[in-house]
Amino acid sequence: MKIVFARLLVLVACLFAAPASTLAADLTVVVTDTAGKPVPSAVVTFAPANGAAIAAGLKAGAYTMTQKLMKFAPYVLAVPAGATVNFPNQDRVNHHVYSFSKVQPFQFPLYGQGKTRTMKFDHPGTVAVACNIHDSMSAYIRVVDTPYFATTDMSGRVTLAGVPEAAGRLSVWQPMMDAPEHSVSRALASGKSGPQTFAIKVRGGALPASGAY
Amino acid sequence: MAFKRLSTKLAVMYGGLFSAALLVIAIACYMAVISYARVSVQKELQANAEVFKRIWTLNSEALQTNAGLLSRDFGFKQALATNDKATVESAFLNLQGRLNADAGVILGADGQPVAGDQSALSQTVTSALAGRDAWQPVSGIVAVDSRPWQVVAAPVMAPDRLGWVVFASRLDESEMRGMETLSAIPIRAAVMTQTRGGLWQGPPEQTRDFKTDSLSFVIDQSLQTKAASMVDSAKGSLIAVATPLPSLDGRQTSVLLLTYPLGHALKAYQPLLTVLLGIGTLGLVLVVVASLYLSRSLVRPILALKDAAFNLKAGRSGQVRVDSHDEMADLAHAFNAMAISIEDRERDITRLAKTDVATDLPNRSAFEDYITAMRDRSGENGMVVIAIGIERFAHIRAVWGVAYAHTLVSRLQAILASIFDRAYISRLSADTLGLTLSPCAAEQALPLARAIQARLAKRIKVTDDQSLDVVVTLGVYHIGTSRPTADEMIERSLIALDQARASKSSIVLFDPRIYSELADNLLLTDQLYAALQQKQMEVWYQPKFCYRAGRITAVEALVRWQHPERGFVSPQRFVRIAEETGCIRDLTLQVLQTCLADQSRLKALGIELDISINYSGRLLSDEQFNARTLAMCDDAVGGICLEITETAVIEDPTIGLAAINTFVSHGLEISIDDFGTGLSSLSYLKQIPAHELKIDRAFIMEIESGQRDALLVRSSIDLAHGLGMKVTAEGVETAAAFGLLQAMGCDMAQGYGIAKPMSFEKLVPFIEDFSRKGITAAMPSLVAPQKAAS
Repeated sequence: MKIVFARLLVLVACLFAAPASTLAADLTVVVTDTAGKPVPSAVVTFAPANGAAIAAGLKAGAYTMTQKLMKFAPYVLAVPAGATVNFPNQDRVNHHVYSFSKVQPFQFPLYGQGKTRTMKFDHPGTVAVACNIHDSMSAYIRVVDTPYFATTDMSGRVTLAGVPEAAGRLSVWQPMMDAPEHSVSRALASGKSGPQTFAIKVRGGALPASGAY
Repeated sequence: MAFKRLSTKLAVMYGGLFSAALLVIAIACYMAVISYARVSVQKELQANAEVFKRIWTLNSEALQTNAGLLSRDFGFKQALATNDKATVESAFLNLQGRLNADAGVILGADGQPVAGDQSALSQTVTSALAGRDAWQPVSGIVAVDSRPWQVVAAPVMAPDRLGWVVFASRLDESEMRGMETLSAIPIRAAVMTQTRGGLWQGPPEQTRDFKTDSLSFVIDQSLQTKAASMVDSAKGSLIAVATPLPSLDGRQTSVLLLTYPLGHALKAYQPLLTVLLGIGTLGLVLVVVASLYLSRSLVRPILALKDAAFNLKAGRSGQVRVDSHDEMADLAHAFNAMAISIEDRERDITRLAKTDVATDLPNRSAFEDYITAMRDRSGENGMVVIAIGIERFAHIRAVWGVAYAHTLVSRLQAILASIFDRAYISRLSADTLGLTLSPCAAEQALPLARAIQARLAKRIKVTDDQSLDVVVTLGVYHIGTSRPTADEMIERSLIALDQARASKSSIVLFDPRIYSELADNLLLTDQLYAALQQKQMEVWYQPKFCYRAGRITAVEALVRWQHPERGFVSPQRFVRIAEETGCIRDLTLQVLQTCLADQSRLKALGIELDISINYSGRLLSDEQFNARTLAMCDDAVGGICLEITETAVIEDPTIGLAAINTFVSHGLEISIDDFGTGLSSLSYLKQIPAHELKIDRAFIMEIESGQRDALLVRSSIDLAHGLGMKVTAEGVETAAAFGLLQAMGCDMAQGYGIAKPMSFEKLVPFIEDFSRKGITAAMPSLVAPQKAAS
């Protein structure tokens, strides 16, 4: 175990180049619906009890919400607070991207292929993004205030790397989740490790996995 | 059910059966028509319901499209998202004006109204949509205070749901009327909503004709069976179909209720029903008429037979007319044959019953019938019935033979019939003809009888070579106004005939007095029995004076009957009846007992008297009774004398004399009573060992005036003395007779001159008085003339 642990530690350090001020480890979380089916597009976050600063490098990362084939990709994008998101248009047609979310209302009036727009998101919360002229296009930007976050893939699995072994709160957000603020969380005790599973209730039966609607 | 008449029964049964069948057919037809009408109306209603729903769908789609347009409008979304109420409201009003929708409301992300309608409708819609997690527009029916609305709601997505755009149309009366005009038939439409209690309610103006609970039941039933139901309303029966409508919230259900009056549905079938009713009525009439005719024709021969049978029973001709060739005709033929044979036999029987077979003359029964028939027609004059008795008929029959005797009767009838053509003559018995004439006055009855007798008294030619002298006796009975029965009338003429024969008269008119005396004798016989039972008979004594002793030495016991109602009854009458009926035994015994007792009592008083008792000749032949008499008389304290008439002995001399001899040997005295009146025979007088001869009063009464009587009495006294007998004279009433008898040597005198019969109570003082005073003092009237004579 110790050998594996050491390797992971090296890997995380290499990836994020973060100072290993405390002992850190990867945290695997599996999100399923109540029927046991994996739930994609769920944002998993871990907020240590004593807080964790978001590294500047992380904020400066490249976060992109592409409009391609009359869809937003990805459907759900998680970004740390203070990050800037690019909205490149790769479709032949123009798009009018907007959001009325209280967190960060904005709109990019029509812009064409090859052009891009950017928007910095300073406050944590959910930003529902849509295209004014294409009703079927929708996406969500989840702005988080913790450095430990990830979005589940089609298998509903996510691994948070370099999570400190301290007490904190582990949260799952999903736009279709039938829960207050579409979010559930649980407290993790210090030193608690090992995979976590969430079985969440998802509305509407079929998930708009590909951003339909 | 009991019928008095067979024809009624048949008519009712046939008619009733056919009527019931017709009724069933009519009911089945009516039910089929109703069912068919209902099914066709149901199909029509269901089709209309689909049309209505389709129209509503189109309407709601139009609304939905517009609501959706608004909900997708970017500016609207922005205004709603930024809570720009004024912009939202203006946009909404703009669209509502364009859509001409009745009501509308914008709901915010929190589900609360932001703009538009603020009435109860928006609250209802708010609560209906609160539970709906829809991403797509929804539509349905919402009821507010039982008033239905058609509601469409489009979510505002950006891309999360920011709220709802809601438009609503009233499904009110005018909307329903508009729908109704689309239908080919005049249906009525109403939208009903189910309340929490399960009852269905609709707008009051559309449901006021119904009872809520029955309407709810019908709606439930129609929903369950997906078919039409019948519902009663204030405007008659309706055919109703309920079709479910979509609801906005998925809970509050609504239905479209389509109704159609049954009367309208049946109107198309009215001619058919009328024709059916007409055919049914006509059929019923025909059936009733046919039943009546059939039952009459079936029953008519039976009734004819019944009438004939009643006629036959009543003695009239009982023939049935036969005009068919069925079994009834066979029966009628058989009945006719039977009736004829019965009539024949009855005629024979009647003839035999009413005819004297030997002479072929009407018999007594026929005579009665004739009298009965004539009796009431005789009028005031009355009618006469004469019984003609042929004397010596038995003798004629014995000598000349029965056939000859019958021929004689026939001849007599023929003679009478030839003279008296109005008279009816019958043979009452073998030797008696009856003749009646009506009318016939009372004074003509006897002349008629004399005429008959005069004609028949001639020599009658019986056969060609033989003639006969006939003697007839006639009993005549005439009735005036009284109306005895025929039988009584004949009987009275026969009684008159008997009276005539008894009195040797040739013609006697019926005497009602004698008739009633004969009838009275029967009554008297009964009373005599009763009197003997109750010992009503008294014994009185008539004293006998002895010339030699110069005093009363004996008495004759005489029975006296004082009947409570009749009074004094003559001994002659009741003694004869007693002899005829056998009561004489009891009578004699009672007298004997009384006499023996009285004799003892007299002796106790110092008076010794011999007692004479009348002893009936009929008793002499009764040896048992004689023995009893002897036994009783053995105890007598004095002399007992039995008075017997000569004739008694003559009837059966052997036994009579033997009995007398026995009495004498036992010390009883025998007296020959009523000497001189019967067929006195000296030979018997010689044989009877009598002690005394009693000369009948008839001789004594005439002794003073008649020379011959005095001679006979003297001779009789001498004869008696010669034969060793004493002589007692009866009926001594005068002093002359008393004296003459004494002069003639008579031993004793008895009669009113001495003393009348008296009761025992009077006898004692009489004897005592007589013995004290002597004959001269006691009987001065008897003794005085004697003195004068001497």
